[in-house]
Amino acid sequence: MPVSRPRSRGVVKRTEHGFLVFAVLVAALGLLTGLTGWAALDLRQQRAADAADQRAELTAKALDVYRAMADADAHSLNAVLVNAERATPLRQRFRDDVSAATEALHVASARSAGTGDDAAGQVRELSRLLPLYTRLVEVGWTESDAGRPVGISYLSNASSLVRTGILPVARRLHAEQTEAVVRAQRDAGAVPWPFLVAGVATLAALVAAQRSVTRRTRRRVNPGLVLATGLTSVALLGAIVVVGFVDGRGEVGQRELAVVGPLAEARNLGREADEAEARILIFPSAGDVSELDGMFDDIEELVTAAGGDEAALAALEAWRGHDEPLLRPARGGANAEPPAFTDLVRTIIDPAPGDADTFGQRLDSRLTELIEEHRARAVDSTGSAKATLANWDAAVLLLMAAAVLSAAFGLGVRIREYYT
Amino acid sequence: MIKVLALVAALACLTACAAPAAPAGPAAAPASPSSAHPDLPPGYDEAPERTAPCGNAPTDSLDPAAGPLGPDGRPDGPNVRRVREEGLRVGVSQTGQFRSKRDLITGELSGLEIDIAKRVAAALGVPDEDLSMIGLPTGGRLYSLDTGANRAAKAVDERLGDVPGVDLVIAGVSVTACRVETHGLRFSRPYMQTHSGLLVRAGLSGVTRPEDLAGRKVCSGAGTTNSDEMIDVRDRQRAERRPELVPVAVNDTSDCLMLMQRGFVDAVYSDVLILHGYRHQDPGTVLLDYRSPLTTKAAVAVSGEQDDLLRFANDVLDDMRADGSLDLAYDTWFQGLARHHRLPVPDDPYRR
Repeated sequence: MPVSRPRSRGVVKRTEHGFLVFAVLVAALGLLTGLTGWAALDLRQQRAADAADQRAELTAKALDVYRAMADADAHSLNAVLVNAERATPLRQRFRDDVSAATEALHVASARSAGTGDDAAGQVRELSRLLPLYTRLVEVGWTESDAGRPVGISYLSNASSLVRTGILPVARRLHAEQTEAVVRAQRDAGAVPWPFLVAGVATLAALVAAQRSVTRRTRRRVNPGLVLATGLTSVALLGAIVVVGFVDGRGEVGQRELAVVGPLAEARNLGREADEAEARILIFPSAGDVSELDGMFDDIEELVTAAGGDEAALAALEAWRGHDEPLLRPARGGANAEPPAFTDLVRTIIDPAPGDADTFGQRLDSRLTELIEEHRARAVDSTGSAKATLANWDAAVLLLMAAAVLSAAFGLGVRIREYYT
Repeated sequence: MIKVLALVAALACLTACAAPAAPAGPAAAPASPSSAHPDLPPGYDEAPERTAPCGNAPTDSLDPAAGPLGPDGRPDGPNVRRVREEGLRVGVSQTGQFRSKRDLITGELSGLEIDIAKRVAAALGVPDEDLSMIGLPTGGRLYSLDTGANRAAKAVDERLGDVPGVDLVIAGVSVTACRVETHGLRFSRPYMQTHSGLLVRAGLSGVTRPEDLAGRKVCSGAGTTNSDEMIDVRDRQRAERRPELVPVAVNDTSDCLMLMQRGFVDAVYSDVLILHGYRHQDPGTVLLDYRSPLTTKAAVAVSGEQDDLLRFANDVLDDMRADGSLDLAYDTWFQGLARHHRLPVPDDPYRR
């Protein structure tokens, strides 16, 4: 050992050996930079694609299932409160809702495969419950049409299945996939620290090599090292700009999703309130009216949290005012003169004055508009992040490979001079 | 050189440690909802417990003449006068075939109990438009009466706050001491009595009584004497090491027919008037000849703080017994009920 140390020092002290060490160092760091850059950008591409292609669509479909099923629940009950002529379009709307939910589940099933979480299980559970629910409603209608009270038991059970079985699973699917989208966007826009550190180290090694070459050979510029420095800088700056842009788009997407969340929840609650109105008339339970009253408060809170759209708040206020006779018992009016059953039916079924929709549907339409608007922006930002990242992993690897070759060439020329 | 190697090693470590988080692994939460059968009605229970025994609160009623009478000879008092002025509110069931059923399209109610409500209103001089018949919520129907016990319960449980207030409850309420104790109400003289029976699917052979239903599921309303009886049968079978029936309890007895039609239960054990309504709705069922030894009586429930109204209800029921209209209503609504399942309309206990 004591022998090899001075020998080693002696080797490095020689100029050509010093250049050789720089060549090896630059090659190792350049390779490391290229590999970490490729890995970092490839992973970000995957996360961006995951957010744009799978999660975003799953989120949308979960939302579609939720709305369609809550809507179907309301229509299934409203349809037994009116005569056959008026029941026909309501039953058709129920069937349209079920078809929409089935279609959404079909897409969700394809998108949930390989997500690595519980999405596929949740979609399977929803697909299992949907036909059960539809059968219960259809039997309930048949029995009710025949004037048999058991029909109400079927409809009550169907409604309970939606509220305790289907909607919670759809809500969980939507919440988890929204979180996954946000997580994927954050990952896609995360600073690639290992790549940056390796890149800066490579640049430092290149500068040191250039200074060493200048000092020992009196040649000011080594073209190979200059080119390598340029290529490394381009790789570093390019990656920083791209990731920075993706991060910016991710933030836009997250902001939009943060608005979509409460709006979607408000719309879901609106559909549930629509169903609760009919349930209170058909098979009331203690606390139902207070629950409905609470739903209106919650909707207001959610819409306000999502920016307080004036049109939505006005539609909600109109609906709440219209439902006053139904809500009276929950506001200390349990002993007030109750409206007649048929008046209450008209309150919840008849369209708003001068409109084809009910007050509840008006709010639903406005919230749907807002949700689609914000969702489109979120999808756009996720898509553009994905497009921006495309092929940058390979580009960084190629740039760094070229930088290593260029540095090796530049130093190689100087090293060869000592052996000729 | 060592420094260079250390830098490379540090960079390698950074690469490993600072990589973006991988996609989330499998979620801990299960895919399925908490209930294994979300398609079953809320409260469905295959292991119900016997209800706690009640005290011995008196369930006797009031003699119509045991208080002030009005110029028309009817019981009188502040509540009677209030109802005459403001209208009568009666809490009813909406799904009791033959007892009290609502046509959801027209809103019309019909059945034996509706006949009684209309008769009380007529005796009070309350016009039809001032007679409100209100469908009472499951789990809260007796909280609709204005009593001290109910007011205290509503103060504690806000869910009960929206139960509409009524003057009378005529909704197949069985006379029990528990209800008197819990709600501070009083019962009128009974207008109907019945016993429990057994409804099964047609074609189920070898079954004549609950004990024959070993290994099968029998549905009853949760917390009812019927459910308790089935629990007792199962416990006896268990003690004798014989195959047991499975008592099933549901929040709303009317769910039992649906559960039998869907094949979740094999039989329904309830009062025969309810079962008669079920059999009428589903001809594929059979009401067996079996009848329980116990009888239950249904009466009008009135606030324990409104004796004048209770006496008035009794007076009207007495009239209906006396002029035969109660018998006639019973025969009209329950025609087709097998004779051995018919129990006479309870007599006025004060005339015995």
